[in-house]
Amino acid sequence: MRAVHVFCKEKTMSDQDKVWPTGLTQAESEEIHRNLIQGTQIFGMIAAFAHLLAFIYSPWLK
Amino acid sequence: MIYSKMWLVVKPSVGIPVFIAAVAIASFSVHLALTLNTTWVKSFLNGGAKVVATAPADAAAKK
Repeated sequence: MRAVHVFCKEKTMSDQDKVWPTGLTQAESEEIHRNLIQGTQIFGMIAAFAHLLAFIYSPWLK
Repeated sequence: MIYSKMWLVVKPSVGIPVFIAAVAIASFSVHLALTLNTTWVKSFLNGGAKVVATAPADAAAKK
């Protein structure tokens, strides 16, 4: 019974210790994605601010 | 977090440079198209703000 439980646990997506083909675990993958999202948000905010300055101080869209 | 498991099947050493390159190429293309298809960028970079400011007046004077 225990062997079956361990076997099933290894097959589930929720196993945090499973190493996937990219060499990452699920927790590591989520950490990378969290940092990528944060970087994208910071880039987006800087870009939005730059476009605001361009709109104010250049003839763009006028 | 949605799509956070994509890095289990896509190597970050490949996927992240592809993502950044896609953003860079798209951004460069848009700005290149803007500079090639408008007339005000060149005059603006030459200090042409006065030209832009007086353009409506010039247009009115010509009428």
